[in-house]
Amino acid sequence: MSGATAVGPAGGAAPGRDRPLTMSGISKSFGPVRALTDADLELATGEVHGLVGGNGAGKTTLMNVLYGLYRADSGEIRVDGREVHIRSPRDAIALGIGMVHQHLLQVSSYTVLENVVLGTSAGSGGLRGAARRITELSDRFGLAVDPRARTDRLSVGARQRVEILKVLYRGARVLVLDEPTTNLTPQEVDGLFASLRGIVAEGTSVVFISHKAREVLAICDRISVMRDGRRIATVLRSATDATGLASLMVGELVGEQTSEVAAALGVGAVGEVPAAPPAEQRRPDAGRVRLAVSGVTADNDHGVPALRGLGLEVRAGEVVGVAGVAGNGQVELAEVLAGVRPVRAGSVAVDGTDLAGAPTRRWLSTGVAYVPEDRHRDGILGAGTVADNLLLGAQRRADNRRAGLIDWRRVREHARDTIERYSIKTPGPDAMAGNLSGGNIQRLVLARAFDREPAVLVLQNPTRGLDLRSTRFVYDRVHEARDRGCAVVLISEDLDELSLLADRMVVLYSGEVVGERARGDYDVYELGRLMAGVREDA
Amino acid sequence: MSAPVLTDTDAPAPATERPAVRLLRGLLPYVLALVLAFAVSGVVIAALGYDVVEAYRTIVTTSFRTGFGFTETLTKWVPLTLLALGFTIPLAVGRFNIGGEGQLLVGATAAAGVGIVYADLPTAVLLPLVVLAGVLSGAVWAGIAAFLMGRFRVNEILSTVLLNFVSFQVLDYAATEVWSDPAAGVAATQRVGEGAELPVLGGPPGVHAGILLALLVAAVTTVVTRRTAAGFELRAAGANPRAAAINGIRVEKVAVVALVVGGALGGLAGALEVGGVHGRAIEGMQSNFLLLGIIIGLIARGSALWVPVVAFGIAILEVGASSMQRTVGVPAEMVLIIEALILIFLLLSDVIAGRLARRVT
Repeated sequence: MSGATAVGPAGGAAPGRDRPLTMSGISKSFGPVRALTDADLELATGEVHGLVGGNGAGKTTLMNVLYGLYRADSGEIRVDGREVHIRSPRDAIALGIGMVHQHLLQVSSYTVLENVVLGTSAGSGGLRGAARRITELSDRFGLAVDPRARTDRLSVGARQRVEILKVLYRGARVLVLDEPTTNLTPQEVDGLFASLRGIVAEGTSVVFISHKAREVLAICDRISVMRDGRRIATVLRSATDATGLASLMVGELVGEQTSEVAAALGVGAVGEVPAAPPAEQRRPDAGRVRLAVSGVTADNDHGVPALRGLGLEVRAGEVVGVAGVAGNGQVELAEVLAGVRPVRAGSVAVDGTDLAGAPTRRWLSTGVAYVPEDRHRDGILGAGTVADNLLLGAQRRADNRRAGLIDWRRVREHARDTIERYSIKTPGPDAMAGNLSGGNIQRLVLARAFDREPAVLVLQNPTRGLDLRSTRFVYDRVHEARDRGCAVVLISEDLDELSLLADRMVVLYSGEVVGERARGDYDVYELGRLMAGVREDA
Repeated sequence: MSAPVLTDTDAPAPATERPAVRLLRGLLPYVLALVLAFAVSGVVIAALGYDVVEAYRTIVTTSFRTGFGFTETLTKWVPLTLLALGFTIPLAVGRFNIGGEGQLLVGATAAAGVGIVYADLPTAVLLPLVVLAGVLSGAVWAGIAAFLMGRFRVNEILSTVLLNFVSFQVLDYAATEVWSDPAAGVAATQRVGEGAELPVLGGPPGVHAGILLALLVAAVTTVVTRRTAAGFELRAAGANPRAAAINGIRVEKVAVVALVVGGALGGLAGALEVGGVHGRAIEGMQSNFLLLGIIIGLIARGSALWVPVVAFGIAILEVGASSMQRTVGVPAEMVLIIEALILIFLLLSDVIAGRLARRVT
């Protein structure tokens, strides 16, 4: 607690002396990993309390302890000043604590109504009474959703509203939201924030977990910063700004680095054109077209068309961002561009060679490198060594072989060299890749991609789940690829990331490109409308 | 047992521990599983009213006491090793070849057929032909399952098992209709020509030269899986098919080839049994090699380097078992129980080691 800026509750709201929730001295280890060390948190009535920190800072773990998903090794939780023991979500719910997870857990074939009442006793009015209460709650807090709609027909934003309604329906007085803005359009984010204001105005307290300083500054009354499993500081919204928050989150970084990290955090992109383009004012149209996609149609895993006549051109030294709400064909586009998913129609030309229909090996040899979204599932051989993983895809290349056999000595040598250049934290080339942290796995995947000297680099959500240092590392590599004359396609659900990196942005909706904007020539609301499927001419 | 590990435990090690310590640590669960399996089986044997010490003494020493015992052990080792490898190679890509006995029988039938039809050819010509016929027919037999798997996604476990039943009929047809030998007393083909018989090494009694081929196959398999691009692709496709495909490996093609190669080894085993042991194809010659091959492959954890070693141990148990039945009266099937227990305790040790590792760190 030393050095922490302990501050009282937000001035205006003046919730008095009551403390709906205090957590103190919470420690939690997973095997050798200390996730929480003497962490604490204090909520005031009727505030939105931001809980920020980089990945692995312990935000979600702390809240999972609160919600009874993890049992803390030590520590104390008090609700309304009374010490409580929370052993399961059931206990938490009974104490008026509700949580909305990043991944929504719903029965998709149920209606909204059924999902909300699931796990509760229907109460006096039966289902009809429940429906009335849901409608009443959703009107009161602006959480527009039809109780009779089937959950799987709803957008991600609507499904999140269902989860919030569920928590409110159970009469929660503490609402925990874990990274709630992931996958929301800017408009939906605004709607969510308005609802949260209404919710806290009635005396409920909200914990808002985020790693984005900008959002936290937009909605929270007080902000607690976590780092390395501890609460480092709690600050009043009115007493801080983006840079201040970023430096608290990052801690040891200073000066110029902090501002770059702040940019990475999405600071300063509040509904306006983000950070200025790089100093050298590159002209993206100067390069030749390296990647030309036209009329591409492809199915998803269930045989349903996911891309419908998609066209895209990327030039040498250009980063093209693909924005969109998850599930609009991003995965399929990434896999088509990587030569993994077959196309039904259309062409994908790299440096003038049409690769549609060619085996993946030819795409690789033509210079396509792919950094998949799910790096554990698609990126690495978890049971293989680091050296195995760096060799993967290049096992038939002449320089890796001698007398027809794989030259393991050279491969290991090369791996050692790569580990050093990419600062991969691992005991060595023979360590199991599956034991690396997410950031180090991503470094490994990037190293492999760059080893191929790509003409086209395709990345999908390349910084998801990474800490700041690794995020920055990824951004630097993207810049490096661009500067080498590579054509970069960055598919991301993070508008801030896209704004920061992309020279040009296209919006993917329902498998089509529905809009295109040059850098600096858009605001995020405009993109949000496109992402939500509102046509240009509408 | 989960998917086979990509890098075998005995692959060149990181210099964190001394190799000897690592080896001992790696062997410990095997030793424990072995001891426990014998202990539990001992209780059963005692409960059945037999002399445990005498039974075990017979099992362990038969192979080494007489030349005949040792020869028999080595002779058994050949098909066991080949069928185990025929199981572990497709297993490396996560496919299960449960058709080893069918591949063996079809290989034996084809080998016997060639050996009978061209009985007059000299050894230098006929013997390679016989072996080749076995290998090819085994490959084709597994190839049926591989084709169905690659083309129509037919589960290879089902197709290889079902093809076993078909292979019984194939051999039956050959042994009763085409090349039947009424004088044999059992359903069997006629004897192959002398040129189809494998030379005998050492002895008497001596071991047929097929043992050299089996050793060669085991060595080549080890080198191929560890040192060649094809072997790397095999292991990568097994370790993570999605990541392998994204990195240009045609996983389905690799799986098809692996299954065909596995079948070829089964066919080779059949040809060697014909040319080296029986001199003909006999109904029932598949014995329980398929089951034992799978047990060996699993105990060896898919490692081509360890398969021959484990196969040797199992061969000792098998040869000792029949001797035990003769001298002590304990049913030979008891040994199958011991083998199964070894495997079960070994699998349990994985679970326990995992729990311990979590608790200690």
